[in-house]
Amino acid sequence: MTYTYTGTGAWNVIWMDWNQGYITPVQPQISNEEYQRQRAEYTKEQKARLDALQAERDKAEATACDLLLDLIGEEQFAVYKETGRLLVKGREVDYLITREGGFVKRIEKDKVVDLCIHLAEQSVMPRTDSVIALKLFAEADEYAFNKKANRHGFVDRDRFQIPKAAVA
Amino acid sequence: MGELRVLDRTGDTKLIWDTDKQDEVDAAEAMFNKLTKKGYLAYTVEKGGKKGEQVKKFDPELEKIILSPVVVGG
Repeated sequence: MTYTYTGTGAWNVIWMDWNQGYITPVQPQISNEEYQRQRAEYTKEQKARLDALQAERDKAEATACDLLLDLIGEEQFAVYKETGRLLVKGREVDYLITREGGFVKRIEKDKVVDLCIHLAEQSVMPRTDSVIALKLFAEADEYAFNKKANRHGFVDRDRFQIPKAAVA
Repeated sequence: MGELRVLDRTGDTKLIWDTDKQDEVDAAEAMFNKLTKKGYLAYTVEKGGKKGEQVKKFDPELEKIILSPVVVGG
């Protein structure tokens, strides 16, 4: 291995040995064409890796959608696909669960309350799995669901556009 | 015939058991117990969009059980 060394004399040689582990080896010079070729190859590898990951995620999301379809039926699932929201009827009030990261709206008689609740590992889970988990939780144990969710204030019902599922 | 669906990063993992085959029932029960100890919530659901109910103990007679990972407030 070649190291950069500009000093002269025994003192520098001693420090050269002492600091050997910290001295940056000189990189071999490569031509611009070679650099471009290596860069293109690296980019291609990265893209292939990302495409494979995306394919895995798409497959997982499709599996989650199959389960949700099985649970709610075609009519409600069509609304979910179009709006990204699922209306869940709790024992006390209704909830709109969004596909995007744990945002839930609790629809009360005269107001809509924003809740935040999600799977602990939501970043690695298909989004529809999160919707399924919240739907089952809200239906099975509404009290615990509301206790666990964080509340983010409320908005007037008139200002909030209720999707088709909630109006029907 | 029962079905256990565990929500995970692949969408879900399915485990099917036949109530006449004790080894299949035992495998499903072992998975149920292992995951509920980790904090997973178990729900029983019926086809046709009926509301799910939480289950605390494995019952091989149930048609479908869904195990959901831990839910937290955001």
